[in-house]
Amino acid sequence: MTKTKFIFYVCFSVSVFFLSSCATGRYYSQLRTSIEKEDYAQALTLAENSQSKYGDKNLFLYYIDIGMLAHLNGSYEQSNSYFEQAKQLYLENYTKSISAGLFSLFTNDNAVPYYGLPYEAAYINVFCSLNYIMQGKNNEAVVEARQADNLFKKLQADSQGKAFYQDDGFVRYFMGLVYENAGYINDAIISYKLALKTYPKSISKTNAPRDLINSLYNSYLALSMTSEAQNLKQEYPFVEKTNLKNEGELIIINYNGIAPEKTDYFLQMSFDRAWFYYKNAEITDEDKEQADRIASATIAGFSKDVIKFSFPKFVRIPNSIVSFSIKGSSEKSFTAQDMATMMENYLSHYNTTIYARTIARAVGRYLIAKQISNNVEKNSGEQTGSIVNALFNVANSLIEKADTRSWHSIPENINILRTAMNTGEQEITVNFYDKNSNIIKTKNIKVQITENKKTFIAVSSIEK
Amino acid sequence: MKKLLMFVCLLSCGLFLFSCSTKVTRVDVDEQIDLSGNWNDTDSKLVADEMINDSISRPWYDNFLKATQKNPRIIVGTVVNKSDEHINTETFVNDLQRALLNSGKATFVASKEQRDEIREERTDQAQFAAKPTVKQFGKETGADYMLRGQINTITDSLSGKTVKYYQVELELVSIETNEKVWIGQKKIKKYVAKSKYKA
Repeated sequence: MTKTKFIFYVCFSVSVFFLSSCATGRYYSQLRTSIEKEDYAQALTLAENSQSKYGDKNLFLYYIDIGMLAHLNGSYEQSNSYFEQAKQLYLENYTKSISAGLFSLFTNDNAVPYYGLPYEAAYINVFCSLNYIMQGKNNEAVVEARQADNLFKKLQADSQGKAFYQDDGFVRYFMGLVYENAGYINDAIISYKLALKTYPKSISKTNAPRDLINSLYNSYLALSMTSEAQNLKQEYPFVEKTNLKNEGELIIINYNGIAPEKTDYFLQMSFDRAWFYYKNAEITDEDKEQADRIASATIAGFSKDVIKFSFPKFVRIPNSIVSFSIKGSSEKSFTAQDMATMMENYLSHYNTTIYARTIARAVGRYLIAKQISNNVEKNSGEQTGSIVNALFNVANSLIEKADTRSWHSIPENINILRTAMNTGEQEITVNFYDKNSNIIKTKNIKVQITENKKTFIAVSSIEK
Repeated sequence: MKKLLMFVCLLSCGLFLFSCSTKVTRVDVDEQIDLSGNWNDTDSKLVADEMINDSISRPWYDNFLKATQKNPRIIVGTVVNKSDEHINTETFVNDLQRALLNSGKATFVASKEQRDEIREERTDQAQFAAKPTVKQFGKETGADYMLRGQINTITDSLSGKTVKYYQVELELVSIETNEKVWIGQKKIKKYVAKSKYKA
């Protein structure tokens, strides 16, 4: 083997390692700690100073993370500004990079820019519309509802109705509320009807809330669509006419828990003439991640043959809160969207493709490495061949990494409570319950209720 | 091999330098630049100019002139954004006012918010300004017509292709009689195509 060739192999291995690695340090752990403490100002500052941790390939992810943190922090205008940038990137990301795709064939899925998932695009619209409502810009909130509608139409048209995620019962329901709030009752009816149709098919397997059906009934009555209202009452006898005299409606949107974390679940098999090493592990901690990768790479360096597969897997973040209510009120919250289940089911649906791609890539990389090492051994001797083989084994072990990119700042689920309240400023106490109906957390909130109008407030909750 | 390594190094340096450069160029404000296909300044100006030209060429204008021997006084009401884009209707309203004023065929009355601000200033003058310079209350000019309207869109997308259809509707309502004296409509259709892959 010539000296130049050897240098080339070394450079290749090192550069591949650096290009494929995506070190975020302890950023996500710190972010999660701030969110768990509900210190969103701190989380937002941390994210603002950490754009470089995401890198240019993951800008979409950066903007949705920071947009959500700004939303949770009550910085609604700032949140919309971040989400608008995310929307722009999502549209631009329709055009996929061939070079990045090819590069990922030899490295891992992290080499491809994070293009964004359809449900992420839809939830940007949900949070943006809430941002506008909180600023009193109800008409702008409706623009978000129309954008969500366009997104679903596009997803359905592009896939000819076959896409796994192509509509969302909760998004339709929420946008119905947004339309109704701005006085677009006819649009609200369409949105509620679509919500009722979509909830049973939802990938999160969430049931259609009774309040949705009641909203549809009342919207029919508001437009004097009496026969439609009667038909709905026949099917759902519990619906009733809402009469808000000297009262307004309070809608509490509860962001409960933190979205599950996507982790790296890997399997490495290392062989030598005299031994066999097998490791099957789940990397759940950023500190552990580097140590695990270095340990696996070291074992790979001392092995004759190494093959490693890494797959992404969602791990839930512990949270005991399951529901909430207002002290002194009989109304209880309902789960309007189970975000965690939606994310898990979406990933599961594409697991077969991810597994096939990962296995093909690992086997392909192994065969190429073997071929090159054997050629070097034949031409330059056993010692040089062994060094090249070791370098490839180390590189292959380091390169293999699951795509663990996901939206970190969204909640585990979205709970809603709707209730009529007397007009004027009201101070309410929100009680949060665990699965045994024990109160485990309370929050006091001041709300301003306007007669015959909806007042939206967003409340987050998490308790380990 | 040495040549190949040198080529790879040069290519990497070139890509690095290009990826880090930001270019800013001054362009003429009337130059038509379409980036995303969304509603932009060109659409706003185009629609405002065409619709105002249309409005003042219709019979209501001559009828008013004949009856009063003076230019109509117009106030701009709300232009509701019913589209699926966050359109700044304020800049569109300003474009409408500019087109109407520049035509020399109408005068404008300040909007509700502007009037409140001016009234506040007048109150302030009454208290603090020198007497001969104080402006009197009750001398405001009332508008004859209100211009109001809406912007609608229909978006149709398939794969990387999108058709955006904008429909702007404006109407002029007599403040005295509530009669609609003019209804104008301007449509813009855009086709936006995106390629699925890039190098």
